[in-house]
Amino acid sequence: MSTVIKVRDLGKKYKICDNHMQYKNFTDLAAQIAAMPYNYIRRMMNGESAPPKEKTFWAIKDINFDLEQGDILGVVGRNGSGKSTLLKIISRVAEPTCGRIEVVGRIGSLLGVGTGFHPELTGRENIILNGIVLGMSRSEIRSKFDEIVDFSGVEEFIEMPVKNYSSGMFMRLAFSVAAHLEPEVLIVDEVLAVGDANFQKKCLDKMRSYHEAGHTILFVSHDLYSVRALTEKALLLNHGEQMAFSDTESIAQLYMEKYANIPPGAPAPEPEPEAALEPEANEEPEPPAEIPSETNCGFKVKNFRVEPFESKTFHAGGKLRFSFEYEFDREIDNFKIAFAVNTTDQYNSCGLLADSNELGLAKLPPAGKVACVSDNLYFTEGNCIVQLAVLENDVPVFLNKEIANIYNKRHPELIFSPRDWFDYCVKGTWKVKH
Amino acid sequence: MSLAEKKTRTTVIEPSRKLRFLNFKELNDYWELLLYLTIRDIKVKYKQTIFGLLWVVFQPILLMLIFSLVIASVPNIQQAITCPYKLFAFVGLIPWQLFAKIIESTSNCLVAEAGLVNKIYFPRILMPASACLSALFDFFIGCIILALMLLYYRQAPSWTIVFLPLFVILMTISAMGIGFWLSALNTEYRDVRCLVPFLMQFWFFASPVFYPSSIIPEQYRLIIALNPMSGVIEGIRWTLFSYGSAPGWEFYVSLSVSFVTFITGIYWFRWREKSFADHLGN
Repeated sequence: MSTVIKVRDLGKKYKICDNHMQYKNFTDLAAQIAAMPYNYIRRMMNGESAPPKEKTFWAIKDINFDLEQGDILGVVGRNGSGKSTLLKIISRVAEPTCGRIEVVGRIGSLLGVGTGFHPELTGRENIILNGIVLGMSRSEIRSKFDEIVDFSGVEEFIEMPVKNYSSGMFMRLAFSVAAHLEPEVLIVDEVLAVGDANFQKKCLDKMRSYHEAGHTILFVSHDLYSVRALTEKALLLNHGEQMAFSDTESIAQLYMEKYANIPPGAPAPEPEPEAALEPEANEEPEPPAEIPSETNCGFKVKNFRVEPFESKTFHAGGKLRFSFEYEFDREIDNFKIAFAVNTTDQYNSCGLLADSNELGLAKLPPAGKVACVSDNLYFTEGNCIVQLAVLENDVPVFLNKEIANIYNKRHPELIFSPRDWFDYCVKGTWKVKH
Repeated sequence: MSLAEKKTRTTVIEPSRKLRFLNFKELNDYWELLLYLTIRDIKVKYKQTIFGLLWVVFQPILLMLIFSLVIASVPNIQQAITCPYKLFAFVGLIPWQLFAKIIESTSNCLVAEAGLVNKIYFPRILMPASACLSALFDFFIGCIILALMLLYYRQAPSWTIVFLPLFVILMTISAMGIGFWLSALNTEYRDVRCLVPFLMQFWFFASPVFYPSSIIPEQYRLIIALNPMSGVIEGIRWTLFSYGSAPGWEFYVSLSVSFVTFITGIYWFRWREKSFADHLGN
């Protein structure tokens, strides 16, 4: 297998503007130059020897990896970890500050769908234009034209200006052109984030067929499910640094361990190149941060943990153990504690409920620890969102709809059913008569 | 480069340190993109208009009429020119329009197409190049109207018309040179774009577009000569009417200024190219 992409010591640095350092137009630049003698004298008087250094920010640093032909790499990390910067550099849109990349073959990038589309031109004209912009030759477009139109499903409207298309039609057409691009190395940046579930499925299928044809793909996505479904290797970035590069399973584990049990209230630093940086914010998110609640009753929850019970990983058929410490200003009469384990944030999939009878307690004491072990759960593979609610007389005193996330893996014995078929899948006893 | 070669070619991405000129091999690969960007510009300009291509000549005709009302009666000017003033003015206005259009469209082309620049790789110099080509297209429409005017005034152009393409090329080169500088500067300092209309207005009056340069007093001739457009406009008038003398030393000064701007413009553009995506945001 030949190495198709070699990345060595790659880094990109941006300058950060302090208010008095950055100039964005000529008048500021002229003022800055005019003020130089004044600033020099001022520094002399204060005893500083040199002008303050410009603050810099490394969007990515020391990235090293190799990809063989036919690999699919998933690039994961939180917002601001440098994923898009890495893709921009490999696509040659931005230039690295240091390091070196070698790529064999044509590079095609999908950093956004519909690049180059102009609303005044017709669908046909836009297909040709977009194709050329993406790197196809005219003859290639001509030969694939019918396929492209067919794939997109906008055949009757192909001679109309694109501004008259609905957003759905526009997306389908734009993606259809991009889908017929066949470079040796394909770079995809969160294109799946746009579009409905059907569209996303089409995208994934198309990428799978690229993989089978032997192309190499670099894929950035926030959706851990599609990364796990599609990729074999993954790269985890954290604030621009390469945390890990190995197979997707271990990276997904690492990602969930690192980020899964964090309450959404914890500060997630999002450094942008043009923003002023605070001095060295410690990025390690520690659990002691107070967990927010949608209610404002003063019911405090700390150290919320959800972990698989009696097994190392949470998979379909496994049990979960929930635990947390709480503190309140009074006892609660007629209380209920509820956990929900959901597959989406649209509706509650599964709940665990306890009240005073269940727990054998007349009133909930003002402070204490709660633990709960569930029965066997049979979710399909994907992320599960955990909710917690504590109720007094059926009115919530604590409510957090996304207190933790935990990733549920496939059960080795159950037949694989994807999350978009069922959320919950159990074994049954089957018989066929003939 | 054949398809098979492209599939196995190794691209190296690393920070560039040296000053680079144009990469002709790469530009050759991207000629289709240049063509289609130009076609797109032209189509979009005229798609939703009633008068279509006639808009191109609307402005110079209007200016010509206004100038003929106001300026033509100035005695110095009447004596200095040999052909009807309307024709004289139109012959100055059409090339001027090309020059101004190239500068105006190239100075903003990168910022206007920030979406494209941020998402796809292509030699960035294609953007000002396509803006220039679409301005040239408009110029050819203007030339057709100019030819009709020559017919109307029964002014047969003299043999010197063979030199006309040379002057057009010279004008394009000087405009492009300025365009390269401005487009690169505009991505970093956005007020460049606001300075351009003012600059063009000033330049318009400083160039012998609607007046002959012979009415400028001797002591200012050098300054006028430094303006690349003065040599070009007078030169174009010379090629069409053989009026005035063949371009003299003033012309050669203009010529050198244009070439220097063009070559340095390319170097500057290619040097700043690396940081375009950073300045153009997401």
